Amino acid sequence: MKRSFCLLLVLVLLTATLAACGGAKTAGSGSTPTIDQIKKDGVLRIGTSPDYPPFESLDEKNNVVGFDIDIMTEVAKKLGVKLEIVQMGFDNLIAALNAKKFEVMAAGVSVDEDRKKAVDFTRPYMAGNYAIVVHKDFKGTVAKLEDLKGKTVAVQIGTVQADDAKKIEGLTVKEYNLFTEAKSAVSAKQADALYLDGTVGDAFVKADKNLKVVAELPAQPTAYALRKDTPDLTKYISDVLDDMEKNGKLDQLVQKWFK
Amino acid sequence: MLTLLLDSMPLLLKGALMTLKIAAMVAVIGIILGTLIGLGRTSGMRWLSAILRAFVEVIRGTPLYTQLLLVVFGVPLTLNVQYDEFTAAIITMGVNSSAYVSEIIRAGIQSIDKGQMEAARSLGMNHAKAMLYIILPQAFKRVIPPLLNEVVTLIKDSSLIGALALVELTRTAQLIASKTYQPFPAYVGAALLYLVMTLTLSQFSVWLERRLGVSD
Repeated sequence: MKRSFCLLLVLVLLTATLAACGGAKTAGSGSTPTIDQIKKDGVLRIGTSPDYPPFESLDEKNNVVGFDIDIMTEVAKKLGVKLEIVQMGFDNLIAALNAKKFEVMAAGVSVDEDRKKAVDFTRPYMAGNYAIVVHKDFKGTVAKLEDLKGKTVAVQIGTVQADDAKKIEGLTVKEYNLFTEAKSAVSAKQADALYLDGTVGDAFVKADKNLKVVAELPAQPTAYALRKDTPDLTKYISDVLDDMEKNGKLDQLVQKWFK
Repeated sequence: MLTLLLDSMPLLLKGALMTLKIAAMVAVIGIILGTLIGLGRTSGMRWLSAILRAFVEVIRGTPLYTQLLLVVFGVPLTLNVQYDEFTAAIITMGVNSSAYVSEIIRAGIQSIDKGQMEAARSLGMNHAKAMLYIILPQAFKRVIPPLLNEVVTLIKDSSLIGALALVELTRTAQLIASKTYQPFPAYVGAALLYLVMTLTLSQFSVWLERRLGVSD
């Protein structure tokens, strides 16, 4: 009798504590546990795959640089903390984000319904094009992915472009770890076409004289991905993007990286 | 978690089949080429043995992954040649394996008592004939465990080819993980299938050893 009473008491206390915790989490939009923690740690950790110029790439000294990095530097500055960059393959980023290896996935991520099940997105900050890039010796006209039937298309593993390409019958899709490897494959004629973000495609074509852009397609908007349990930070970054748009900073960065 | 694991099994099995295909092709190249190199190194011809030793040192002294990246991405762009990268990757891995196999074979040949060769020669066989009919069969029997060990390594190392956009078992798991954002069930599934393959092979090794041991 006594024991079951004790058990009951423990259960009640536990439930009360859990309820209190749950209550605290949802109590008002004013509470900012993630941002408080970041300020306490003094560091904002972002995850990226630096094979995606001009969003992110490596400079001569192997520093990660790019459009996303400049925006995130701005966010870190507003928070008054240091920026730490975690590098890994794009396909591992969402899992690593949810495993709390970093707080923001800043990797030119396309907003997509499948991904929304796993992560939250900030407001979009880019709405560009996707591009089909081929070797300059490529014969034939290509206006859309379907025109590449019977051909091999190189993409990066885990990207929206990879999903899109795999949905089309008759395409052989090769999924590389890095977009730069996919690019090399087309350049070396191991694949016929490269399917990727238009601005990244332009950057590749500029750097590699073997390649040319044959088609531009409408794209999903690009945004930052965050864990579902950090809505305060998601909102904070969306607000910073709003501010940067209003004061012209975002436009300056677009000019710096995309023109 | 378990349903995700079960759902991904058909795809993973397809990947495992590809892994077996790769490992089988590589093993054939590796064992044939490796035996030839091993014979060359024990032939007593000093110049041949020196060249082969240099080859083995270079291959063994550099990582397989680096070799694959070099052959698949590096060479075609620089020398402006085009080839099927699947074939190229298999051959690269086969050549890599041959370096290890040659050492196994060499050790096997050298472990056979000198008297065997001397006896065969005194019966009128020439060196080649004595090697082929007397020494090699005995040597092969002795090196079965390390040789099958090498094949187990091949099965596992074939995952490196996955990084070059050829979809084998590990790559399949990676693709599933990138789609479901749940890496754990995908990689556990892949690991289990690797284990099934390697355990089967080591059981086969035990059986073969016992079977061939009958004549000892």
